[in-house]
Amino acid sequence: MTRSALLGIAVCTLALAGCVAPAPDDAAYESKAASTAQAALSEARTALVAAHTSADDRLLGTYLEPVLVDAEQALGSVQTTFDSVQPPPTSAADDLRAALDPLLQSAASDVTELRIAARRERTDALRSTSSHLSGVADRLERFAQEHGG
Amino acid sequence: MTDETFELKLRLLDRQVVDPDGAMICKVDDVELARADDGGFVVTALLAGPLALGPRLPGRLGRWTVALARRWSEDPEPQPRRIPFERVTELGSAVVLDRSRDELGIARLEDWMRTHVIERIPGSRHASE
Amino acid sequence: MKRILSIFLGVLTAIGGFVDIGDLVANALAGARFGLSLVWVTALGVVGICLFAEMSGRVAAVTRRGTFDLIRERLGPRAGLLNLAASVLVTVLTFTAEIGGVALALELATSVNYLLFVPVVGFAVWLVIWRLTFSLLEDVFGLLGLALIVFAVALWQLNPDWGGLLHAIVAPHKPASEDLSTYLYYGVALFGAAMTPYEVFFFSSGAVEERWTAKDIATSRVNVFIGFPLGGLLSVAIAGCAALVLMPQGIEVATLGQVGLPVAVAVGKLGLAVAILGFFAATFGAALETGLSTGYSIAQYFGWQWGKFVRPRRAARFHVVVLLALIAAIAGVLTTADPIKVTEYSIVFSAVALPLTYFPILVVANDPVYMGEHVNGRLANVLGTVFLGVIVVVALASIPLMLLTAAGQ
Repeated sequence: MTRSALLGIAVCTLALAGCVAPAPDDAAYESKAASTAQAALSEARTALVAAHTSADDRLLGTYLEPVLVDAEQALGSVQTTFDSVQPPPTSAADDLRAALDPLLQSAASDVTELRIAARRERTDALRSTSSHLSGVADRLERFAQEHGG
Repeated sequence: MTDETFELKLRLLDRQVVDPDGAMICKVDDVELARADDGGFVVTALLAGPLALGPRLPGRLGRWTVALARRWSEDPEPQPRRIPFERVTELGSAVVLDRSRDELGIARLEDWMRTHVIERIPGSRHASE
Repeated sequence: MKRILSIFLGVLTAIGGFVDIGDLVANALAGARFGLSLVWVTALGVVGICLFAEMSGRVAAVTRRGTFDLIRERLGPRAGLLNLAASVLVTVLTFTAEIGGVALALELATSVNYLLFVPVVGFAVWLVIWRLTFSLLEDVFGLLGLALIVFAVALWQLNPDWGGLLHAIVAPHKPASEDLSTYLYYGVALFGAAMTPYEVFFFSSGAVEERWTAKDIATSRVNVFIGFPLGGLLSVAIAGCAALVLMPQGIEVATLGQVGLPVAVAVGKLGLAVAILGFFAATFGAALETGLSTGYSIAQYFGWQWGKFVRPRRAARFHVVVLLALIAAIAGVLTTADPIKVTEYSIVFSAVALPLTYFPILVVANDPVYMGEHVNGRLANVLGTVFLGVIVVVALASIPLMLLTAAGQ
């Protein structure tokens, strides 16, 4: 076998190893949860800044929608990625999942509601959903900090 | 321009070849040498095109370049494009020839691209505005 | 008077043309994550691009030869071809990112999905390259790119603690929550964004397009030494806005929409509209530059006629190469790969390819046979050599850092 073929196999193996998520231990799972919370926080706060600026009549209507759509999609993929990780069989891991999953879900559904309100140009709905999302974002931030994110 | 002595690799090989108006013709992909009476070498012609460049490229890439150029050629005994050294009037940052690009004829690929692609697009004969 | 006006115009277009999608993304990313603690890298990159752009402009003005013409001559056909392959790959990747950036700017202006704009943008890029003169396209997009000054206005409006900002810039301090490798990885990205190799191909080939002679060297120096640093200040303003508005919220930049958000917060609707115009002009202008640069490099290596100073039918192979690069870039965007991610990779790979471009320029600018009285002075040589060392270190470090940090995750 030539050297380049060996190198090719090595590269492929490494690439595949990167794709298959192995079952992590407690610490790895916790760090994964923290970084997930951080990523979700980033998207939730992006949607919030956009919604607030829009409510103050400082954001173009055409700008708000793509920002919210992007945040919505990103939140969806953050959630899917986290759910695809097999949690270790410990009660600590189950607690983590039980704490984070509802936060991710309500952030995602809030951003979806913001997007719907934006498309309908309903400023009151933007405001009320924003204040709910703001609470969710704060809890995500606390979660990330508590778990060392 | 025939008696001067110069370092081939540094002053001639891989230089741009232009016509008197500065139109670009080709690169000096290779040169044709002949033994002089005093035992040195004289450059008799500049060689250009894939058949000249191919042998200077490494391994398989070089062989493929030559093979492709041969397949594409209509000539049964394809040769690299040859520009007699008498045509050269100046060796500076470019090699200047004494004939215009149109008189010398341009490379086959350029002709093909021009008639089959570029001239079929509206505006190809106009200068930019 | 006319001369002063033309110098002024040159400086303005150099400022407006400095920023492209890579600078927009890298600076907003770094600002939101590291505050102003990486501004020193941008400053370093600006010094480097000034140094080497001046050299390549001088070489082009004296020899009337483009960069790749000289690269092949100096490195020979083998190393030259390897260099060409790497440079073209990086430039086409950047071209893809720029076209995606134009489409994203249009999405922000209309709410219509960016993918729908891609074919239109591609056609517009081709039409401009096909029909507009070189100086017109450079002036128009350079001047429109000045719209990005709105980021400096936004920074002003945010009314920051200027002393604190200055301190964060001159005494950089890595945020405690970030690994050193991540910090350095983003440093590499910023450096690659500031020094992208296509800028040098474009700058030197542009000098030939505009028929510069030794007399134009002074003008080119003014453009480079005033225009580029001011353009660099725009980059810093983008990073500053992200640091002030996005960083405290824990927002990590992943979209072009997030890059512009601070302008809306600070200046409002009109400012945001100006910022979108700036995004459009900066990315469209850079799309033209990268597209042309692909054609310039390949044509110069093979000795084909290139340039917009001749009619298209006189440079058939050049125009075919540009067209093929455009088709590749459009296809790349239509794969729906996230243009922002493409941008991130393009700037890191730019950093890898930097020595390939800058080493031959330094060698040629040093060659008295070529350059005559315009050969590099001692200062240019010392600085150039030191910088080449920096570039080599950055290039060697970039791939290991990318693997180590999983591309900055």
